[in-house]
Amino acid sequence: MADAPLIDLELITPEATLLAATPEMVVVPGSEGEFGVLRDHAPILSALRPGTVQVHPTFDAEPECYFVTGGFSEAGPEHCLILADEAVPVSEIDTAEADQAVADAEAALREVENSPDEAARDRAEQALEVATARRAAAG
Amino acid sequence: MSSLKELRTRISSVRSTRKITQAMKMVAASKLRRAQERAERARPYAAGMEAMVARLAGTVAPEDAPPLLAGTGRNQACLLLVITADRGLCGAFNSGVVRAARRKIAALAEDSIEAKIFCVGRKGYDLLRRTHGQRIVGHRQLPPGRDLPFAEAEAVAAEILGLFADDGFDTCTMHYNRFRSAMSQVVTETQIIPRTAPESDEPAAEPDAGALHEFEPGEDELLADLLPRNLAVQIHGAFLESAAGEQGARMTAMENATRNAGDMIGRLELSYNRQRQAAITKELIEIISGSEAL
Repeated sequence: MADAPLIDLELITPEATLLAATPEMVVVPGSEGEFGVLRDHAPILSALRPGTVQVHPTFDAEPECYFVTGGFSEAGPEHCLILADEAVPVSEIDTAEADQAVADAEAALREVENSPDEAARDRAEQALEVATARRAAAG
Repeated sequence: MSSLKELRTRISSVRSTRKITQAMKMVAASKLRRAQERAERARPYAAGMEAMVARLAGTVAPEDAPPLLAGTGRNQACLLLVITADRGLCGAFNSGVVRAARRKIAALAEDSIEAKIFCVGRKGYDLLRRTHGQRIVGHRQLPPGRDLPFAEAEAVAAEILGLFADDGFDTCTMHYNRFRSAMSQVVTETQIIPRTAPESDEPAAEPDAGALHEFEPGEDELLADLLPRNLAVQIHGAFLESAAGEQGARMTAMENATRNAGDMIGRLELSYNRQRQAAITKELIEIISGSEAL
């Protein structure tokens, strides 16, 4: 596949560049819904929701999956840049730990559910959303 | 003239001081390498974030821009974010930043702008507290250990944004040591609120000619998300630069101290040997003149 239409993908967190590759397709969990990026994608700038970035080296190959907690993504005709708040390869997520995180987040949310502090409620809800998505990503 | 015994104790004490400074230099050198790597790893994220913000900022009409981008339209109070180290023994590293901050405060006072200070790092807080205690609105120590987690920068950014939302200040500048090389750190002042395009060494990326981006969600929501995030990224970058600079400054300072200790040992040993020789000569003369008298 010498002439495969590849895209330059970079997956970057504040601490390090996690991945720089040239896959054929990337599926990005945008805040308004997942979107796939192929070559010649229209320029888009999107926020991310907690979810899985799927990197397909070729169309029919099994994707490499990375869980991201949120962030931003920019895609253009030739490149796709993902700035993740935090990112881990899905294979490194421990299922039991992820379960525990969901339980903890649920408990934390119940605690502040009736509190008047709206910011604390929002934070707890967000934490739960991240934990749930993480659990889902772990499979 | 001190006695031989005094000189001996003196020499051995300077020797052990030299050992300590030498060890500290080695430790700083190895920490420096790690700190430098970390600072470099963080750079792509900061660059990507900056590019996104720049792209978005270009699409928003100036009158709709949020205050973080366009400013509050006033200039009555300025917050100085002063980033120093928690520990000393690193030459002029901390005092350089503090001096720059003091100059800035004086300059602001001339324009009758109120200055407020937010300190990160214990040394800067200690130094500024004495002269400008009433201006300090907050301070924070970085956690010990070699990691500077991003969450730490986020926490500082959140506090600053909280103050901003309460109309605590109109502009915010950040004072820190930028790491240039192991031997030199540059005291840098960067305005972070309202946003200014950073002066970078590389030429700015060319704007994509006519590339119209789609935005998800809308521009305004994205900007509202991105700007605070970008602030945290900038602060984190400054932390990392400052951490690398601190180790570089300490390495240089300790190297100088080691050299000075070596010089001092040389001088002390010279005067010790002279005195010892003088004592021997004196004894010999006494013996000879004693035997001649017989």
